[in-house]
Amino acid sequence: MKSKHDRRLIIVGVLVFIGVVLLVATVVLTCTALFTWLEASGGSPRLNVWEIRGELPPENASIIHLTEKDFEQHPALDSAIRGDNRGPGAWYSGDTPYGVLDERTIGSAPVTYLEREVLIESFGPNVEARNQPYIEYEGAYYYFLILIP
Amino acid sequence: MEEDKNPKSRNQLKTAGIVLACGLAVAVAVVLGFMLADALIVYAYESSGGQPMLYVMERAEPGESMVVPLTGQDFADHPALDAVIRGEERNPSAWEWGYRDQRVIGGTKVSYRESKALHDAYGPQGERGLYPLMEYEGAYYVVLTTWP
Repeated sequence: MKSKHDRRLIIVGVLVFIGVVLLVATVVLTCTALFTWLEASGGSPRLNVWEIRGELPPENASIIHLTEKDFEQHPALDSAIRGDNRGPGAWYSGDTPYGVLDERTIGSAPVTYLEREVLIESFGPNVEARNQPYIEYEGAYYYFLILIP
Repeated sequence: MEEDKNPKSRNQLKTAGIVLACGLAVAVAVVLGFMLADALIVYAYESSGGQPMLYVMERAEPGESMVVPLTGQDFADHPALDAVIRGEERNPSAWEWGYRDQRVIGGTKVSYRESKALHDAYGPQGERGLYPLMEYEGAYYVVLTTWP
């Protein structure tokens, strides 16, 4: 009689153990997934690329010539300049980091905050001197700005 | 045998057992929950079609960050890190862009799993979430992983 009672107690104990494990695991899983989703849906910075024309860069200007390796390592820049996100607008005369020039929008692509930092470290501007390089690809000159939501 | 005769002591033992079992259950559950969540998040990202990237930034000065030497084992465990720091993916930018005390050394495409492994090994650590600086041949590197 006693051993039967003990066995039942053990079974109930094991079931409760499994129940608690499943319950807490579900709560942790849901919370982690929810926080990750909320973090991801908070909006991301956007890379916007413009092309400029007219005056060639002055002699002492810094020019970065984009290579295949650059495009490979910065997929967002690739997609905005020559990929799916390329969609050139009409030319207009506007304010650029180099003064008032003829410019047009070329494309834009979402980037993460880390990618934004990496793009700025790779292609400018120089944060302290506020100097923006000219980005050249196939004879055309570009500059980009990354807007934060 | 004596416990059987003393119901109070037996009850205490039972309570202690239940508390211990619950504690163990919660601990197991938390670990299990995090493992499942990690697996689920990696799976969800993998099916999203985005491309995670690995970037390595070089710092001119170590500052107050923790410095950890990179060993041959690190490069063997993470071929992507090897390729960026000393292989074909090395493509350093000029120091002058961005902040002068850091520059990008290179980057490469990685899978979500590799990215997670790199983040766990070289990502932000401790309460302050500081990136450890990885030292290799006298240069200091920060390993960054991005998930689109």
